[in-house]
Amino acid sequence: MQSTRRSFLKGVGAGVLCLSLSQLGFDLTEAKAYAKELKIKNCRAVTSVCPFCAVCCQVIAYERDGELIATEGDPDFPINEGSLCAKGASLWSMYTNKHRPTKPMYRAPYSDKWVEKDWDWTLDRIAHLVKETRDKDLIQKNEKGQTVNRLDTVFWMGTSHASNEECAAIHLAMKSLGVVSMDHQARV
Amino acid sequence: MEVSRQSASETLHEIASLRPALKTILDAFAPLLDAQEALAQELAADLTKAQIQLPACQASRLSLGISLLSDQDLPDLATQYAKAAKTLAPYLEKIPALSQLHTPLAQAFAELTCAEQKSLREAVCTCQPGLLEDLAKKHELDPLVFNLAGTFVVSSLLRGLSRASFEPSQEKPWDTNNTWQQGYCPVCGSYPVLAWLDKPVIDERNTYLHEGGGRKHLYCGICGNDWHFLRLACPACGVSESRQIEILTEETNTRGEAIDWCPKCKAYCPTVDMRERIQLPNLDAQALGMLHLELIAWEKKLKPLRASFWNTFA
Repeated sequence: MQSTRRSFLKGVGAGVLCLSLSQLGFDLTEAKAYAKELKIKNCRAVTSVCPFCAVCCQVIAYERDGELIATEGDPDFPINEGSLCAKGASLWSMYTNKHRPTKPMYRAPYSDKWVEKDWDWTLDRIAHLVKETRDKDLIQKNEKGQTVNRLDTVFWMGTSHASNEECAAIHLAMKSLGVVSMDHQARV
Repeated sequence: MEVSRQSASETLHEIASLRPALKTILDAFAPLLDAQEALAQELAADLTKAQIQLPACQASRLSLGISLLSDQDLPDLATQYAKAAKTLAPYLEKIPALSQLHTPLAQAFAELTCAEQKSLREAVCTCQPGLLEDLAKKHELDPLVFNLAGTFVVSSLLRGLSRASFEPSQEKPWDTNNTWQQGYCPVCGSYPVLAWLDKPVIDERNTYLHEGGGRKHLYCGICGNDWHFLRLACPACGVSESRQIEILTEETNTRGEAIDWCPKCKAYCPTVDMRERIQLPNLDAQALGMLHLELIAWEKKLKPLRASFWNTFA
C-alpha cells in the first residue's frame, strides 16, 4: 500500500469511482452560484533570501503580476525557521513604502532642505569630495618612514543589499584609495 | 503536542454561518462526521484493550518513502469492521441518495475475510478502482456506494488503530528529524485532503525575532494523521521536483483558507492557515467546508490530490 506519482495520476483519473455530491442527492446550484460570485486572486510563492545581513534568512516571497505583494519567513529554512528580525519582517515595505527615496537627495551644507538630484550630478559630487579629501589627507608614510598610503578621513559604510561580488569590488576600490575604515550596516 | 480542536459539527456550523450557500450540504454531513470521530475514539479503546496496534515504525522504511502499512498484514478485524459499518450505516442512510443501505452494507463488512479487509484498505487508501469493483461485485453492492461507505469504515478503523498506537501528545516517528518527506501519508499511503499551517511557537528567550510558525502539515482524510511537508513543494510532484506553488484565495474574508496548486502538474491541495484562527477547526469538517474553493479549482481544471465526494463535480 504505497502511493506513487503514478498511483496519484491513476487515482485522479479514477474519480469516476467516487460519488459526487450531486449523485448523493444534493443540489449544488446555490453553492456553484456562490463560488462564481467570489472574487478570487491568484499569486505565486517562491523562496528568496533576506538581503539585510549575512545570516541570509530565507523568506517566502509572494508575487502577483510581476509585483511583490508580501513576504514572510520561510519555516522550512533551518536557520530562521520562519522567524525574521524587525528589519527582515519589514522587507516588503522596503520595496513598496512610498517614503522610500528612489532618487538621490542632496542637502547642501547649512541648508535645511533636501533637493532632488540626478545620478550624474550625485556621482560627480561624491567623486570630487573623495578626491579633495584624499588629496588633502592621504598619509603616505608613517612616523617610522614606512609607506602606508592610508586615508583616515574617509569611512565606508557597506550594505547587505550588496552581493559578494559587489562587496569585493567595493573593498578593492576603497583599498586602492587607502581607506582602512570599513564596516557593514548590519552591524550597526 | 495535543491541541484542543472544535468538533466536526462546531466547525461546519461556523462555516455555514459565514457561507449560508453551503449550509444544506454541510448540515447534512455534520452528524456523520461527528459519529465517525466518536467511533474512532471507541475503536481506539477497543483495540487498546485487545492489544492490537499498527506495526512498529521503522525509520529505514520511512526514509525510503514506504508507508507504515505498505505490504503489512493486520490481524483479523472483522468485529471492528462490522461495528464500524453498523455504527455508520444509519448516518450514511440519512444522505438523500443512500437510503435503504443499512442491511446489505453492515452485512457485507461483517463478512469480509482478512484478505478482503486488506484489499479494501489498499483500495481505499491508494484509490484502486479495480480492487473496489471486485469486492463490491462479490458482495453485490454498487461500487460507488461501496467506495463511499468503505472509505468511512476503513477511515474510522485506521484512526482507531492510529490512536491506539501513538500517543497524541508525542511527536510522531515520521516527523522526527524530517524522516518522512513524501506527499502521501506515512501511515496509510493516502494522499492528503487538506494542508494546514501551524501557529508560531513564542520563544521567550529571544523576543527579538518576529513571528515564525507557518510550517505546513498535510492531513490524511483516511487515517487522520498529519505530517510535516515543505511549504513550497507539491505533494504530487515530490520535494525534489518542485520549489514553487501558486495560491488561490478569496480577495476578502479568507480566514486563512486557500488552494495551493502546482503549476507543473495542476494538482491542488486546500490549505488553511491556523495563524489566522483562534479556535482550531476539525480538519475533516474544514476540508468539506472549503467546497466553494474546490468548485473554483474544478472550474480552473485543477486536480484534487485525493478525489472525495466533496471535490468530485463531473
